[in-house]
Amino acid sequence: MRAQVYVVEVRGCWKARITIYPEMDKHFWMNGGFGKAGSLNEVLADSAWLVNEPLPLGDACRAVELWEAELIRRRGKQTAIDTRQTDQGSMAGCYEAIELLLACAEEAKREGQNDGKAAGRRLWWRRRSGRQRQTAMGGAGLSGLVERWERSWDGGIVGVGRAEETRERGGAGRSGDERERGGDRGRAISDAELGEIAAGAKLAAVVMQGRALLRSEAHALLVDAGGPGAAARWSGVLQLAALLGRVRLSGSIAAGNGGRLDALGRRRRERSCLRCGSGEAYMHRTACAACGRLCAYCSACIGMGRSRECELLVVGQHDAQLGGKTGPGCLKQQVMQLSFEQRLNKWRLSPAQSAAASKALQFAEEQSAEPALSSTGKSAKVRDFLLWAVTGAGKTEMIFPLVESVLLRGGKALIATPRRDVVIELDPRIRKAFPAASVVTLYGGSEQRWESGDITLATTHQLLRFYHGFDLVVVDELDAFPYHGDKILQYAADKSCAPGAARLLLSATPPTGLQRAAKRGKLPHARVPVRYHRHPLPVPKLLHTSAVRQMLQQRRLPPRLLAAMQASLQREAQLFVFVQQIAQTEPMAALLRAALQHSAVAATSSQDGERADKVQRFRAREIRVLVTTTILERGVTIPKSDVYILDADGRLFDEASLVQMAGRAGRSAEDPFGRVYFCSRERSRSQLSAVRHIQTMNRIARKQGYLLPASKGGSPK
Amino acid sequence: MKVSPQNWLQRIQSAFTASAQLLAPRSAACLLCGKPQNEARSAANYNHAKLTAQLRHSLCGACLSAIPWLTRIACLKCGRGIPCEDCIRSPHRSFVYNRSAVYYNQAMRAMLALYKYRGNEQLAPLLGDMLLPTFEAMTAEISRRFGTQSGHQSKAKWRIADYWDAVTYVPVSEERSIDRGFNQAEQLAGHIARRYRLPLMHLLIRSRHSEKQSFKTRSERMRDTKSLFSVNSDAFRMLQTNALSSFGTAQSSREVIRILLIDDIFTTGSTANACSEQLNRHAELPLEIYILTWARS
Repeated sequence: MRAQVYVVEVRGCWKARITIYPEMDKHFWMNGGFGKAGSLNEVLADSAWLVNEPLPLGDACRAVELWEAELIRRRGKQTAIDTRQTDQGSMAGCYEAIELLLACAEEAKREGQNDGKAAGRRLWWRRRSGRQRQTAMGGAGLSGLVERWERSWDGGIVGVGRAEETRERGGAGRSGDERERGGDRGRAISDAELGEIAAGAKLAAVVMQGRALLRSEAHALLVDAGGPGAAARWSGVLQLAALLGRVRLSGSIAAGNGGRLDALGRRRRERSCLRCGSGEAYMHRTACAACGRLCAYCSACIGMGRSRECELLVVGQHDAQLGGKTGPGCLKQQVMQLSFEQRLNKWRLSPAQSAAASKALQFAEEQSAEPALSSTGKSAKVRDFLLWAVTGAGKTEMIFPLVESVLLRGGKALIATPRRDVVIELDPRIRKAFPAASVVTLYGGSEQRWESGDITLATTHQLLRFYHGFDLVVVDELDAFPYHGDKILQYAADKSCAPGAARLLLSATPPTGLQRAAKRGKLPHARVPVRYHRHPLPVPKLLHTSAVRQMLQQRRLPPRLLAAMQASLQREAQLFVFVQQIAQTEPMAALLRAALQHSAVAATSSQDGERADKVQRFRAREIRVLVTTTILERGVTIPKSDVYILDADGRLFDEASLVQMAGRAGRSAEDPFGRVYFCSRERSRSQLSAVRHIQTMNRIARKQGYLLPASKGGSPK
Repeated sequence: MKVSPQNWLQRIQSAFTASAQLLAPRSAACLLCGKPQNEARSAANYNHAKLTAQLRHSLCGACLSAIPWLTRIACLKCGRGIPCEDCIRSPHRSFVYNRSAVYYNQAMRAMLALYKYRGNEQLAPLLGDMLLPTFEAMTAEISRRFGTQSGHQSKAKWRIADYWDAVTYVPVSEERSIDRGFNQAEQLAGHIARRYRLPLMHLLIRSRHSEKQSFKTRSERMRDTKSLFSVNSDAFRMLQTNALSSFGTAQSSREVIRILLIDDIFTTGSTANACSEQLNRHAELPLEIYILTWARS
């Protein structure tokens, strides 16, 4: 889309702004009255000039940016220039501002056309010569390019004398009818309409808070929230909200300085997507009918709607008044006075769980108190807390006290997991734990897409649509696909945290970088080395077998594997059989069916449409043996199950993956001693380190006294 | 055989483009399914001689072999794969015939949605490339029918430009083009025009904004498209003068203006028909309008 730029003088101070609906800006600065909503602008402008030519949105933003940078630069030299200019009075300031804006607009357009190459010093030449030209012509050359806004009569004081003066000194070329047309446009919005727009803007301010949406998404959100019906008014509503400082409007791809110098010593400006953070490599420039020039779009986040240079990105701003917002005051006081132990009691956590939870809670609360103390600095960065909890430790229960704490403080909590299944599964548990709170579940195709609540459950992709939205962000399964290694999602997770928010990272197998940071004391963390039922993790046994491919070729299971599986079936356990490739699942299931002489054997993979159904039947013990791939390595809890990992030396199974798969066994209190077998031809490093990982966790648990004593059915060792 | 210098230049250029293709970056992942392309399973093994290198390198083997090429045509009028009642019912269409590259099945619907609605314009050259075999077949058919220089079939590529006077496309409304940022038919037409050095002409204008065709029923479509298009008279005049000047030359002995009209989907043919009707109504010289669409639903 296109936007216009203008300069406005408020209390003797010039500002440059972009607008997607100039009439709204004119009314706001020159009148300020919005029907029933009353006056929204206490400080009306003295004068304002609008550049007539609509610019591509990206260029308009850039022009304002250049204008502001230049103003700051000049202010540095102000003392020198000032004395020279006093005789010319304020009109000089006015022309300077407009001239500068026009020059900036030209420069922005040129940059847009030349693929973002900054002009360096050449720009300076143009501006200086522009000013010389202006002084020579007395500003007459401006008439066709800009439009002057004047205060409407009912707006109160109008500087008649100054308006006259302007026409004499500057706007000689401005024809009368042009001014009349401007007046007509100003009057075109009726009082009732203005009231509606003001109400719409207030609504937009509230619903947009904490979000970053593309134009079409913002429209959908406003429609859902019951905003005004007519499509033509969107721009007015959003523009007014922007004037009130409640949303920020910009192109959704912007160029920043960066990159290397080229041969001529110029710095090429590199674009990046403001929504997903992807850099120049993901930008594709195509001819765009909406802005009329070549314009880049981001191919990295195109699955979530197209973000492009001239596409409007609406970012909700935090209301300054809401900073000190509190929940139900007395309740908060009461709760805060209780000790951590007392507060945690309610959730009935195991000793290891409550130790970790209280550490995390302390971290979250001390941090949120911090910005209140140092309100001057905006340095309140997101601080991470790693909760390193073994598989089956009960991570979800541990985050409940934190969520409660943030809700009591009047904040919003977000729980993000990489996978949609987990989000859907988590939903009822959260609703049950917090019956009073409003819970919103977001995933691709969710019906609650535009709702907002106290607790948000979302897939990590949905975080792209938020900006500074949450006071507590919980990232579950940190090391899982697709979050791990995906820069876009990590950018989104950073962006969704409000300043000073606590971010809780959950994992059973954190990536080595985080493990190292935690060990060096750079990353606050808590470790939960034991499962909620206080039995040690089953330690995998290494079994020497042939490769899966060989088994399938010979149509024969190695006798030792067969014996182990039969023993498992004998003890009424469910069998997880993990293989490397999707193509191997079905043949392996057929082989097992024959070898075990058992019909309840099934196979599933990511490409299986009936996966959810099969897992359900596996849980219901209708299927006894399930052959699968890493797709089921996490998030599935089957009571009384044994795990067989075939081809455990394969390259797809790394340490984390092996630990996760081993973690499927022995999760329930009824059968805490599941069996885990790593079956392979070779002992690989990842198998050994997975075993060591599990043993270390058990040792720590024993040392800290978290394991059940032998007298209560604990392990004897 | 006499070889003109221009011909030589063209040969050198095409040889250069072909060798530059070897250096062109190949996308590591399939543009449709996003799976990484490993060489072993990549499309290079599939011997689709008629596909361009770009198409073969941007899609994985699985996606490429899932393309339902429309090679066997049952209805000579509308290019459908099955015998077609519409064309029997209303035989007087104002275009010669339609040909489509693929069947519009689920996979193609998803591909088009990715391009048209999601706005993934990286797919534009691929869709354009998919039109090429069909377009070449159309041209070959025309050359057979009119029997001009039948001896030079192998040089067909150089001669393709002789058979066509203009490539044009079905326009979209101003609002839609601002909303979407591009016109898919225009991009496809531009692709063909660039490749064969044909003049791309903006012959048509959409005079009013209509609801999306895909939300309408059959009869609504038929009714609505009646007065949807008008002719861009400047461009049309240019086309006629160009054609008149070339009629006299030795290269062509024809006396009709042959126009290729491009669109993304051919469903009932009402859009194509409305466009050709307008063009015919405006024409002072006889027109032959051929429709080339990406998909036939």
